[in-house]
Amino acid sequence: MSAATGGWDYVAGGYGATVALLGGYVLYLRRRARVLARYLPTPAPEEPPAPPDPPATQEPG
Amino acid sequence: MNYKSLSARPTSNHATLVVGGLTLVGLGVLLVLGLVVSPPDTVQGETVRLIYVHPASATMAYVGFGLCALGSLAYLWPRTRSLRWDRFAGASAEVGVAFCVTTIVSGSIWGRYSWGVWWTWDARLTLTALLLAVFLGYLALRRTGGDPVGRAKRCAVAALCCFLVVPVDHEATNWWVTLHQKDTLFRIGKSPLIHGWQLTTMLLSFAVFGLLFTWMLLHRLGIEALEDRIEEEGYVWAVAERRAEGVAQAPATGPGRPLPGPGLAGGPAAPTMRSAIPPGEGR
Repeated sequence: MSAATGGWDYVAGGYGATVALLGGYVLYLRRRARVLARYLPTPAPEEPPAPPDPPATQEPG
Repeated sequence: MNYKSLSARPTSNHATLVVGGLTLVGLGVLLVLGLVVSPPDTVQGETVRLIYVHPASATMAYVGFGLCALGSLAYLWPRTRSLRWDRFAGASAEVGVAFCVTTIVSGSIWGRYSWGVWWTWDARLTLTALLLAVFLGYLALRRTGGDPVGRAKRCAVAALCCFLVVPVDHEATNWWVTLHQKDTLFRIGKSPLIHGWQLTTMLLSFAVFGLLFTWMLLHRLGIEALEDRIEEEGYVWAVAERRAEGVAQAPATGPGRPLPGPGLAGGPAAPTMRSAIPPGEGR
């Protein structure tokens, strides 16, 4: 028993462990989703539009 | 779909944002009520504040395992048989396991203060450890290979067997003499053992942990949806990519030579799949 702190250290331990475990699981889910999203098929970037044709020049003569 | 938003928050949608926001607000209020407003107990002192974490975690573990059993039942029922139910069962079990681990760890810390030991082979504690073990086994069973339909059927039967531990675990403090205290809130024919701010905060903890559970489950189901998309679309895109590679490596076609295939070299750019998922990645 922790008489000096009245049990606050156990409270901190219990709350901290809960946050760490559930937070760790959330981070794991986040990483797993990101890894999966990276391997999702993505559409290829659109090709840039073709440059306009140069104006027709008349050859001399 | 915008690729950038998909990459940043691949499993987010309006539902997860709303539930996540409510969960954050609820957790903030719960922390204030649990650590500041709620008074200490005459017997347990400040450690009574663990009652706002531990029972709610245990309840969410039960909810997760219960949803797993419901999903398994829906899969085994011929009229509702669908692999979606199997995936729902798997997602629920995984979130339930996360809360079950939290229950055991927070309970162990509380037990160290109240009983002087981190662990004892009390009926409630032993059954909770057994519950965690059997659902870890269930998750391991889901990772086995083979035919998805056969595996789903095996897992559904296993989940129902695993769920049998839940009511026994819950009733352990009533059926046997245990070191673990009996129910504080839901006592048949009797009023709760706590009142005032303690009762309010404890009820709020169930609501907030329920929101947290829902938020986690929604994201976990989103991961299932991502895996489905990769499984369904990935093959088509991989074939298209291989075709495009084949076209790129082929000798240049002459003006009178036919193209290798419609819509590939002469058509719009072929889609590209970033790569195949390496074994074990994303799991």
